[in-house]
Parts: sequence; structure tokens; C-alpha cells
Amino acid sequence: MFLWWRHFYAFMLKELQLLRRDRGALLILFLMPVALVIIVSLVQDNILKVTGSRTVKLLLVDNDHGYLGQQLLHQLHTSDSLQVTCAPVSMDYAAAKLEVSAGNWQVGIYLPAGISQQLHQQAVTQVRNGFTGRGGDALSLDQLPPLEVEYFFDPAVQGGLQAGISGMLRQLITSTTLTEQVHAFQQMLPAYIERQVSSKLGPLYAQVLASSDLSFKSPVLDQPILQAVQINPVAMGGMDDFVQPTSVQHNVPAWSLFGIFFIILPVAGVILQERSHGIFPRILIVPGSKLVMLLGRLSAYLLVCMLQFCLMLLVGYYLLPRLGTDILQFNGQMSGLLVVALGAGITACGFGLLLGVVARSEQQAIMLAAVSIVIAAALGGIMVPVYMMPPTMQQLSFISPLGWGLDACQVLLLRGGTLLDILPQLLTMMVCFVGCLLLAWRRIAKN
Amino acid sequence: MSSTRLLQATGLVKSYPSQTQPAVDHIDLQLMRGDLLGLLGPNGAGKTTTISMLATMLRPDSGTIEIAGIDALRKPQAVRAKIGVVPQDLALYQSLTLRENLIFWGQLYGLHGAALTQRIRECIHLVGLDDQLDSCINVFSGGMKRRANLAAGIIHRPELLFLDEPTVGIDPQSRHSIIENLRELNCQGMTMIYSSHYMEEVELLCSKVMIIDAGKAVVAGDSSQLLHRCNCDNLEQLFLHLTGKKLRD
Repeated sequence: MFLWWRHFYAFMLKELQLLRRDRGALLILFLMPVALVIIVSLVQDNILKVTGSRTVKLLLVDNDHGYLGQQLLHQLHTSDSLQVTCAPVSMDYAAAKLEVSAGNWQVGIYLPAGISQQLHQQAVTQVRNGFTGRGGDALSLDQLPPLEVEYFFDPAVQGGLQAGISGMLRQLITSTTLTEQVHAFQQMLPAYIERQVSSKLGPLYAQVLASSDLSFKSPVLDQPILQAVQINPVAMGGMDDFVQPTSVQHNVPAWSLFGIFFIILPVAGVILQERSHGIFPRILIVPGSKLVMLLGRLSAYLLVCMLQFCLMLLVGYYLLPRLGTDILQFNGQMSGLLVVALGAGITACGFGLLLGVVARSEQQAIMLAAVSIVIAAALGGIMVPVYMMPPTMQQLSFISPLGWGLDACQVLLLRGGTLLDILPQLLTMMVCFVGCLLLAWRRIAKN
Repeated sequence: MSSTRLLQATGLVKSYPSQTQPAVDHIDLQLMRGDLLGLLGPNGAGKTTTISMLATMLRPDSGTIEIAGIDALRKPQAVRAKIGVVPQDLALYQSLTLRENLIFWGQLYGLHGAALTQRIRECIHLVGLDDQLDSCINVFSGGMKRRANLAAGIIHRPELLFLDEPTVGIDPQSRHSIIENLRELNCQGMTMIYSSHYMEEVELLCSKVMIIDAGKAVVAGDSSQLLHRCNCDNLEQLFLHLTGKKLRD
């Protein structure tokens, strides 16, 4: 038992000493994930904050100078995500489009001359037609030119942002049109009622109607009677508090897992070194349990993985908020997160062992490790969420160990789950580790 | 010095899937305590395979191996505590210091604390690397690396030491130093099997030789008796006389 402990300690100490001397590996393991999480969190923090920061610059070209422009301007100013600027009088349609195409503005809106008047006319005509069933003495709708409020985007603006702003603009236009129609209705209804009653019941009733107050007060359109309200989803663990997803909540666990899997490089590298320099046969003839020696070796790397993970959590909790992002919230799941990190580390070590045994050279191992980690990260949703991928890729994502880890973190941090809820992910990681170990052992036995 | 038997190997056979002929074909080997056996043979003769089987790195297809009265095939773990290997490759971690390497190997053999420190001191003094303990192996010269390799192989005071070409590629001074170290260890009672292509080394060091060719033992016994029997002046002549001058690879 005592000798086993010495073997365990000897291997653990040796691996840590080797890693300490490998500055390149230390940079990759610690500095790279920290840099990634800071940069990506800051970048995505701006994109994900649709509300809360006026980052979308909008240029309003109002050639109409009517109430439509004023109405639009007022409503656009109330939006937290838009920074609205009215174009100078000298700027025409073509110049505005050029300005937006050049990237000086993200969105441009153009109101042609006379659109307010046209909108009023069409609204009146529509309401009148509704009362009379035909155009009457007004122009029919078929003869009126179509009304258009044109808007255009900077080509570099992403699809999601385009969709959001397009929807908002359509809503504003619809609301303005509806308001105009209600006003028209409000104006026409009393006269229509008077005419109808007079024509049916005679002048006596018309006098009665004239002495009564038949004014129609239009409803206050600012107080909607039906609206869509976003509510928090139900937490898996029945938690009352629910954390809204932020770039930090996603990126810190994601890039931490990415960094953890780079432990594959030193694990495989040491084994390759032992194979190529004749150290491996010497280890094989040392008396004692090879399993204990393996555990000692793995413990060193798992310790490094946990240090990595803790460093990343500290970055998310202390450093990122100082750079303007949201704080990383643990939801009381710190122990669960550490278990996930341990599982990811074990999986990575298993793969590193296998790679160290099957690779024929250090260069081959480095290339295989780097490519497989990047592919696993892409498939697992580290860079792009899985639900945004094509269906085929979504199906493939289940093979990614980084995907298992990220999924587990999301269950804990975003969905209010507990350790029990992430048991399938943890078990999958263990199975992967055992599989890699068996394959590596089989290869060693064969050689 | 006790003349009890330390190693008894009988009918060792080992074949590799890619070869039509066995790499080792019914080799018998016996060593008494204190013996220093030189294992000679052309390239591909089966020397390394033989040593690998005796050192429990490879399992023979057939045959028996007994070391210090222990069946090496049934109880390899018990045998491994009594043997050491100085391989042809420099089996040391290049980025670690000599001290760190020796601590690692010493701990694996159960040494610790003051005993390990003392043993390290003895080993590096023997190989003449006293002032290199805290230098990384990768800054050592070839000769220094070979000497460090020897130190790692004897850190646990093995009863039986296997040396596979321990002086390849080093200068004559380093080679001389290693030969003297081995002679001293042998005088202290360490039994050795020494494999080398350098005939003069084997002649200087070994009292017994075994010449292997094509997996078979061609001749074995006291080197001076063999020279006299075959009427040869030196081991190289004996070797060429028995194995021929034809190139093997």
C-alpha cells in the first residue's frame, strides 16, 4: 500500500515537473483560455445586449416634414437600442443609401415627400369605403399610388439584427397607420350616423341627434388591451431565482472547457516522449501496479485542469465585470461546476492517453489534438449554439465531449438543474474515458 | 562472493508475426552471482529480444526463466524488484534535472527520504556527475547522458543488471569511465549481462561471453577458454570466425 502511494506520488510529481518546464504548454493551458473568454465575452456582450446600449445608428431622411416623420421620430427615440439622427435637408435618397452602404449608419429610413398627406387620404378613403361600400366622391384605392416607407441596412449588419429592427419598424408603421384610420373613423362616424338616421327617420330625429352629444372618443392606443409578455421559463430544479442568459454565462464555461481539453497536448506529449526515448520499457519493468502509476499521472493533469477552471471562474466573477460585462452567477452550483470540470478533465486525459499511444510522432499528436479539439468545440456549441446549427450538424453534436460538458454547465447555470440532472452527461464522459483507456491498453499490449 | 545461481533461462523461444524465423530460437542461459556475461551477436541476432525476455519486458513464446529462485514468468513483479536495465536509448526525461530523474526512478523502486538522498549521492559519485545534479539532462553531453542513464539503472541496487549497448556514441574517456564503473559494481557483487558491438569492451569487462546468431546461441562460456579452443587472438576474431564476415543488414 505504501509502495503504491509512492508510485502515485512519483508519477504525479514527475508530470507536474515536466509541465512546469514546458512554458509553451503552460501558455496554452492558462493564458489562451483566459484571453479567449475575455475577448469573446466582451465581443458577444455587445451583440447580445439588444436592449440596454444604444449601439445601432439609424439615419432618418424625412423629405415629408409631416406628422408621419414626427411620429416615427418620437417612437424611434423611445427605443433603447437605436441612436437616431435626422439627416440634413441637403441629403437626398441616393446620398443616404451611400452613407448606409459605407457603414456610417447601420440603418437608414427614407420618408418620401407627401407621404403624411397620402396616408391621411388613404385612411379617410378606407374608412369612407367601409361606411359606404364604395369609393364615393373620393378617389378609389386602386387609383392611389402605393405608400412605401423604405428602409435599408448596412451590408455588414447581421441577419438577427436586421430581423429585429425590421420587425420594430413594421410595428411602428402599422401602429401609425392604425392611428390614422381610427382618427378618420372618429371624424366620420358622427356625420355618418346623422345621415343614416336622418335618411331613415326624418328631420325630427335629425334635430334630436344634433342636440345630443354623439362624439366618439377614440381609444387611447398607448394602452394596449392585448400584448406579448416575456416570462422566465420554469427552472428544472424548481428554483425561484432564475438567471437570465448573458454572454458571460455562456462563454466562461464554454471556453473553460475548451481550455481544459488542451490538456491533451501535454498528456500525449509526455507519453510520446516516453515511447520514443525508451523510458516506457523502463517504466514497464518497475515493480508495482501500472494502474496506480496511471492514476498518479492523471492526477497531476486533473489538478492542472481544476486550476484552469478555477482561474476562469475568477475571471468571470471578478475581472469581466470590471470590463463592463455582467458578473458570472453561480446559482449555488459551484460544486456541480467543479464536478463537470473534473469530468471534462478526465475525458480529455483519456483522449490524451490514447493519442500518446497511437500517434507516431509529436508533430502528428499536436496536429491531431488541435484539430480534434476545434472540431469538437464547433460541434459542441462552443462557438455557435447547437440550436442555430443545420439539422445534420445538430445530430452530430452529440458526439462532442465539449458538447456534453457545455450542456451540463448550461443545465446548472441557465436551466436551474442539479447534479442529478447532469448525470447522463457525466456518465457519458466516464464511458468515453474508459473507452479511450481500453483502446490505449490494447494498443500497448499489442506492441 | 557467493557462487549461487542467479539466473537460469531454458529453451527461450520468441517469434514476431512479421518474421518467418524465430527471433530467439531455444536459447539457454545460466548465470552465477557475480558473473559478468558479454552478449555478442550481429545486428538482428536476437540480443535485444533475449534481454527483453530476461528483464520481463517481453513474454517468451516458450521456455522458462528463473531469477534468484523466482519464476519470472509467473511472478514478474517479484523479479522486477531485483533487476535493473540500462537500455540503449537514453531512458531519461530530458527536460528534468538529473536529481529529478533519479528521485523519480528511486521512488518507483521504493526509496525515499534520507535513504534516497544518500543513494543518489552514491550513484552520481560513481558515474562522476557530482556537480551536475541540478542540471537538465538536455544540456548534458553524450557521455554524460550515458553515465546518467547508468546511474538511473542502478539507483535501486539491483542484483542483476542488463546493459544494452550502454556506450554507444560516446567519447573514449566516457566509455572508459563507464567500463570502470561497471567493473567496480561487479566487484561489489552485482551480476550483469552486457550486450555490445564493441569487442574490446567485452574483452576488458566480461569473464563469460555468449555469441548469438540468427536467434541461436553459437557458443557460450569463459572467454579465455573460448579463445584458446578456437585458436583466436581476440574476441573480434572469435566473433568473425563463428558468425562470418557477411553483412547482415
